[in-house]
Amino acid sequence: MLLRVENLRASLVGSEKLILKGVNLEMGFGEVHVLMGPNGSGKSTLANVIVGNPKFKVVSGDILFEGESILNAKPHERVAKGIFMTFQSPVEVDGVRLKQLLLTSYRKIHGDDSSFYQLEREMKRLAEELGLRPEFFDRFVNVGFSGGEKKKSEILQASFLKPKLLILDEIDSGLDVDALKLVLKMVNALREQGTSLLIITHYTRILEHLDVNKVHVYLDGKIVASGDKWLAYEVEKSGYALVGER
Amino acid sequence: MGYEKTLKLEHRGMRAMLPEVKRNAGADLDVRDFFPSGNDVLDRWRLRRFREYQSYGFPVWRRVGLTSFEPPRVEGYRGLENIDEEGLALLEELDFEGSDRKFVLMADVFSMAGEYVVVSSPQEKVVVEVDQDVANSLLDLRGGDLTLVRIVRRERFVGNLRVKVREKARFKLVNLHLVGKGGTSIDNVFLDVETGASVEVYDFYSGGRVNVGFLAVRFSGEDATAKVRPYYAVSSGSATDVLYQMRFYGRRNEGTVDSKGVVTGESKVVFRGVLDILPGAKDTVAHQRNHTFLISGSAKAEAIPSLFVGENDVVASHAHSSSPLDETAVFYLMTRGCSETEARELLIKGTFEDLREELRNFELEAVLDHALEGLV
Repeated sequence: MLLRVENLRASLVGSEKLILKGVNLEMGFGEVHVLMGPNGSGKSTLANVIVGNPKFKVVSGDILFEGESILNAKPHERVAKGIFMTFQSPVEVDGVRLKQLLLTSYRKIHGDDSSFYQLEREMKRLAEELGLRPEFFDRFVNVGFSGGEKKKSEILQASFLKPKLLILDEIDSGLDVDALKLVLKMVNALREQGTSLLIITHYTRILEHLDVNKVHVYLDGKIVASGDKWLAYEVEKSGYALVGER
Repeated sequence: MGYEKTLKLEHRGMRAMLPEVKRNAGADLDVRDFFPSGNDVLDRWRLRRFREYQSYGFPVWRRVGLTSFEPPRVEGYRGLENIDEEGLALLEELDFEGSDRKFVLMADVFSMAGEYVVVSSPQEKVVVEVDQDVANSLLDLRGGDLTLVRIVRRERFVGNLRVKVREKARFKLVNLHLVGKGGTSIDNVFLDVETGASVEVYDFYSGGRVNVGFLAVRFSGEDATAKVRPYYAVSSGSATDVLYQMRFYGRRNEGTVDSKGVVTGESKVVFRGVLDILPGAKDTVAHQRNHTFLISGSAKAEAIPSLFVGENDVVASHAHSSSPLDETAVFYLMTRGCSETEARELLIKGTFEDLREELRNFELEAVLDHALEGLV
């Protein structure tokens, strides 16, 4: 098992109010899972807790990655284990160039075996696939990027760093049809290389481009239903509440 | 001839009274420290200024904790000894008050380093390391494109730099203050910008116990531009007090001051910005902006912005802010594999990235990196 989330309860630091109210989730190696739920149900919180955002505290339960609890691991240690998340609204990081960040991250995760030129060549190849100019890497991370460029930057980082588990938090929001196709092409490429995907989304359109192992319906801080991709279409037809009541 | 005041609080014949600066009557330089330059014309000018110098005590600057000033040891004169009558006339034209008149006069009279240079070559890049405690330079840029990198790496420093940027000339100044621990630096820079000229300044302050900087741009012509980018890295309990002034006389000039810096530990920065648009300076565009990252709970930033607008058809703004490092950005970098310390270091160093990029042209990035060591 790659990821096992066991009865996870979590709240914001300094608050008693639970946002995650007993989440259970199991993902095998190479699997693709989709998490769907209404706004404010806590989907992004689950993703943030898995990657170790210090804004949240785990009240009970556990997160096991490749059989080991990662609750005490810092975010960068979780990255080193192979967990990577793309953000719904990536923050602007003034003064830090994308190329600098990618090289630093790559070497931390994969070591120093690849030369600068090899890594730069790979960056250029990925940029080309996403229709980005090479100068993109010289820009400060997310500063002045359009919404589409931010999403492309996120998937580009993921593709470059090749994680074992990639959590995509609404990667499809704010992308036009053509951009979405390009992004999902890269997501599929990652999957083919063995990366497991946890996709958080509101839309079924992403399912048209991806083979999915499981769809989970997430309501009020926990998973209330799981099934194949047809569950997503049922949600679209009947709404979250009806599916949750089953 | 009067000198350019730092604050010129006059409006339609009314003049504001400024509180008198408190001064200290401690040990000072005297006539025994006055060494002839070998240039009689210059020495007569210096003697006149020496008399004015003697009429002031050292200022007491409570904001930065400078209550007394130990004068430097003067061992001779060096600076403007090759100046001629024309140069002296320019010196008079570029006379100014600075952070305090006392220190401007000190550098004029007792300088031990500096030069008078007339430049008109198409393109030139010069790196100068100031090698004495008191320095005074005058540049007359008559055309072309000059980049000057000036490095002040002293335990103690009092300096003047005056630059006349004549019609259509281009001037870039990269001014690096790397003051030794426990030291005091007081630097006064005055730029006069004529019609169609352009000026770009990178002004960096770090180290020392007390760092005081003054940089003024006087737009005496029309259609000129000046972009000033101050940076400061204040640590180890030190205090930095900087004043950036732009005074607009002519029409259609554009000036911006865009500043940022980092303050750590028990340190403090005082950022003063003065934009002064005089009557007749129509269609002026003037902006000043400053942001300070406060890295510790006891770090302090004080902003004193002043905007004087004596003309209707202008665009002017100021914005000053301070904040800790953005924790969301720290977390983001951690999700990219950086430890918390590395993430903070990246963000702090990132504050100076544009300056580093500029220094890369002179292979001087290491100078900046060294100055930023230990900030995190």
